[in-house]
Amino acid sequence: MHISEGILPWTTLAGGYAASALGVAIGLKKIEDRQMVKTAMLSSTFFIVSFIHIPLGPTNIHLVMNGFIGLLTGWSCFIAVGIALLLQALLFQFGGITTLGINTFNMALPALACFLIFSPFLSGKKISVLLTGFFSGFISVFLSTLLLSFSLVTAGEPFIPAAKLVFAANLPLMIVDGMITALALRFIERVKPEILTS
Amino acid sequence: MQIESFSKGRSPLHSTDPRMKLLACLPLIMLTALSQDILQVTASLAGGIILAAVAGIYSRLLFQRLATVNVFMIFLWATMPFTISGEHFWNSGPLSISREGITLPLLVTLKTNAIALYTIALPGTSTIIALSHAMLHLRVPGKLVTMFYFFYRYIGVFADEFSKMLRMLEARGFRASTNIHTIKVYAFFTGMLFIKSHERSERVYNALVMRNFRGEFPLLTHFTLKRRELIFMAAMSCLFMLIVLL
Repeated sequence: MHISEGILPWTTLAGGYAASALGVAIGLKKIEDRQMVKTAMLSSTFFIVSFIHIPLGPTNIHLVMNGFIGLLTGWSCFIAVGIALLLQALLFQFGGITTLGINTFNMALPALACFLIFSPFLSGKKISVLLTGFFSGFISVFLSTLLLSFSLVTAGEPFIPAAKLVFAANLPLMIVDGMITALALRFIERVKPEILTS
Repeated sequence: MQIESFSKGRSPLHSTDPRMKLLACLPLIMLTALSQDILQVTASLAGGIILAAVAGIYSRLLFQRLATVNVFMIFLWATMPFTISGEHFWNSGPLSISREGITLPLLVTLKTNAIALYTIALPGTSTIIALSHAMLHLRVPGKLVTMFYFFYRYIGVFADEFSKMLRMLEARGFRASTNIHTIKVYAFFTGMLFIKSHERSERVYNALVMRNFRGEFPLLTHFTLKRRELIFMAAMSCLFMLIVLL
């Protein structure tokens, strides 16, 4: 879920950079040394996990898991998402340098929202962990897609069909991401619960 | 996992100071991204093509990379010529194409390719380590650069872990298809990867604390500007001014 270079107007790009810079600044202010190493390494895992392709009929979709990264990294999620997108922009030219701000914002704000809403429900019964996982996976991808479509709309009327297409194409991903996040959280809660409480 | 595909080489661009490459590429990319003029964007693409030639990076890999970048352009070319109304350009039966419907996707396609070439030819010809070092000298917050460095350092490690676990699944007869079993297996797989990275991060942190880590790496070496860098910056400024004046 990235917007390429050369589409958005400068107001959206600048707004994206300002909002993401604020998110990163708050993250850097709150982060401790121990958390730094952990967040960076969880971010590498997050990057690797996006190589998993889940077959869906004739095509396949790749995981996003930004709700999951939000639950694991909390306020540092802007940093975790930002460094992953910076590397993609530098090495693979996915997304880009000018769109780094807005792409980070679109992915990290829903992650942060999931952390703020759902982290209190993480400990406890099986059903509560599963539901928390499903909703954070579903809602984070839903919100990211929504923000992405809104960003495309700021590029002008010609981009409205593309924005709608992007939103529709991501609907199955919301459900699959929700299911994977739910089961992965349940797995971690059984195998190494201290990851979720720290 | 080899991901710094273009960083090895002996061209003049490969040996230019990474700070200067970052400083030169940002204004060029911004100018290209914001321009609304076909002529300017074409000039910028020409600049990118020349820089890539100077860097000597033309190869099958480069064209593969550009092809991936252009996938999104197919969406634009498939919808925009027919949905944007404007001055008449061409029609056949129910289909009619407007002039604006051609120029807008063309503009975006030129920009995307120009920016991709700048990114590969300038920062792309330095290693990520050199770029992190340059970012520290350019006053990017130290904690952020340190985290970027750790993030990059462990991608290779986790990619190995990832392919090892995938081989293990295949050895046990797992094949991905559209069913709940696949979802379950991938969910536990993801969970396990995160647990492994969490455990490794604790070990790495403890090892760092033992070596007196305080959240940042000290800068030991410094860059010096030589004549090569001055010529490079002068050439880049000329390119920038040329595009602006067009």
